[in-house]
Amino acid sequence: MSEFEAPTGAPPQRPASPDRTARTRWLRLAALLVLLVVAAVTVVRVVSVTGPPSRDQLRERAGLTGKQELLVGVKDDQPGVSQLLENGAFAGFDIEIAYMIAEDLGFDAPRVRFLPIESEDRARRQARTPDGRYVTVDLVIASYSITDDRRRQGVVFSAPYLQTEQSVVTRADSDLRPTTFNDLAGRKVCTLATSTAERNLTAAGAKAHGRNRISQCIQELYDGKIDAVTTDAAILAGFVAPPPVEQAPPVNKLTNPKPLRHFDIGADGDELWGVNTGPDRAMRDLVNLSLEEARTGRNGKRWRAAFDRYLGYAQQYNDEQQVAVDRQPPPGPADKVEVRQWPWERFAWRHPNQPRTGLSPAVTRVRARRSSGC
Amino acid sequence: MLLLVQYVSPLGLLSALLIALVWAVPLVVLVPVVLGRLLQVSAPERFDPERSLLAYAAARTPGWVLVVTGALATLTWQLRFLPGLVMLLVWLIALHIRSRYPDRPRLLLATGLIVPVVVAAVGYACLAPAIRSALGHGELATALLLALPPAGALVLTGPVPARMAPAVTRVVIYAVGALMPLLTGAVFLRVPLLPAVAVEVGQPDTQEVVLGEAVTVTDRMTIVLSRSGEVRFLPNDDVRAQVLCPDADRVPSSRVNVAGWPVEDTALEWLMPRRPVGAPDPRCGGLVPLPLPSATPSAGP
Repeated sequence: MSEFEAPTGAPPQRPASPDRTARTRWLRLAALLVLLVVAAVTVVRVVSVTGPPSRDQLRERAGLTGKQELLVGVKDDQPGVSQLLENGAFAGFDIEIAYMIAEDLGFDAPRVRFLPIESEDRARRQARTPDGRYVTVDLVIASYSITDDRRRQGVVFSAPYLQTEQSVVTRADSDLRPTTFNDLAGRKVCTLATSTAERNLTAAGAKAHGRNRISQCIQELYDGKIDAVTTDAAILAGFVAPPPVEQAPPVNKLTNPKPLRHFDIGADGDELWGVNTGPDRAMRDLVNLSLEEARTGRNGKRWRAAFDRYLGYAQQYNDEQQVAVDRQPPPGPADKVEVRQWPWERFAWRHPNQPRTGLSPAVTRVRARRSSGC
Repeated sequence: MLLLVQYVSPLGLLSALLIALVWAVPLVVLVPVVLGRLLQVSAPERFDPERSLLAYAAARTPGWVLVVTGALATLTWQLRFLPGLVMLLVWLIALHIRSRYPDRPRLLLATGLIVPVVVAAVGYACLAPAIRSALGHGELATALLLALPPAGALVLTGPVPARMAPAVTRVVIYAVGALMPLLTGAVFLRVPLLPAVAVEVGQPDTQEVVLGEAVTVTDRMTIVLSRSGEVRFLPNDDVRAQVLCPDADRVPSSRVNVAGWPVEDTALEWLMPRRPVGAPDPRCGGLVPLPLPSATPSAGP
């Protein structure tokens, strides 16, 4: 674009032709105008666009600013997943995931209140308080499988946090050795009401009946009233494995327990567990952000510590069935969240105020004592 | 607004204004000089410092002012605008040499072609990863700010058509003059004048945490402009504690950086020693502190 004709008053050494000079000047003018217009539009856009929201802005939009307590609906009768203990604490994989998410939402352990929730109430997020009232919880983290049917009914799920599959348990002394759903044809099989397993049983010709609590199914199995129980492997594995030695006894004790055996029935499809975050998009984004940071390592190894402590422990007693995939499932395209962050927050550096990488028993003990929810 | 006028000191307001808008000074100085030089080399007969403001700016602005202005811009402009600054300076040098030394073709060749080409090559070599990153993150504006100026440095190293030069320079300076108040206003309105605070209120225990901006503290009251826009007058006897909170608006919106230098940081910010800040106080999220567990009374004799 340069042009080296001498300006007025100076004789050029190599004079350019007038046509070429004029053409160069017009080209330069056109380029200048294009450049200025693009630059002006760009600068105005840079100044006016503020980018995605920050984490604090998301908290504000989700109504968490000023909120003193986070209510989480959880199961209370699923050993290894979520179980209410005699000391008033909840323990299990779902509970650790709930603590992890709550901490990222700005609620430390004493501010998290767990409320037992029934399977049928998970979609509406209705949990019962110790004094008998029903309240709407902020999050439902209750071994809740993500399905299209539930989404169509209006349930808003986060990204998945666990990948497992359906399986079957029978009594160890039973002659039933199922390898497919069809082997359960004509048998009395119990599962959770409104669960994804109920349809499969009906399709296989089993005498299916649903219970609101999986512990009721297991009790019926102990009592010989049914032949098998089917639901997600991660749930059943906790009944097959003995409780950890250091763990307090559960509130809901089953009577007349018998040894159980866990079978892989080759069910199609995965069971992906997600958090019901309610209709608030900001809340869903915050939960997805927490799960993504757990997956990519910014939150240390909290997901891994929870998995090893509960599901990894149960695996050794469930030889024939994989309890769950030992990696956090990746989020779907709709679950990706962009937030404004400081540059140092984008790297997987350990935060100065978050030195832990796992859960120490002492921390768990303190949490348990303060968050009984009772 | 009246409350702010009453309690915020004029000196503080002026300081905030100057600090927030110091970046505008180089723009106000450099753009008229560049346009004045363009007018001088394109239509010398219209270059009359007595009648034209642009000509006056080009003719009367001393060189050292331009150097100081360039240095000020280098320190106070965000990285994403620095390629634009380099482009302006390349134009300025080329036009200045062309008007000052029209009979030295080698110098003209150096400043009009070689320097811009070298600057463009170096610019693209340094900025290419950042441009790719900006496109990858969908930040088209950032990508344009980084990608356009190196090529743009080649554009304005000589004259434009003589009959168009006065009109073009006038239109451009009018456009810049019209945009400047909007840009400076948009920037200045986002400048936090008051510190963001969380105030614990209640006696004997904290009943509420008021979030907002501290207007002032008198001998009887703590006055807080809450986030909802309401002005709260809190009796000092009820105020148990007060903490400063981070300002969410300051979190950068771009994820692009050039060799570790975030594009929204100025050179001054980049040079400042910084380290990751700790987690903000839970009270900044409106959380009322939990009562400490009471000490177990010791057993009596």
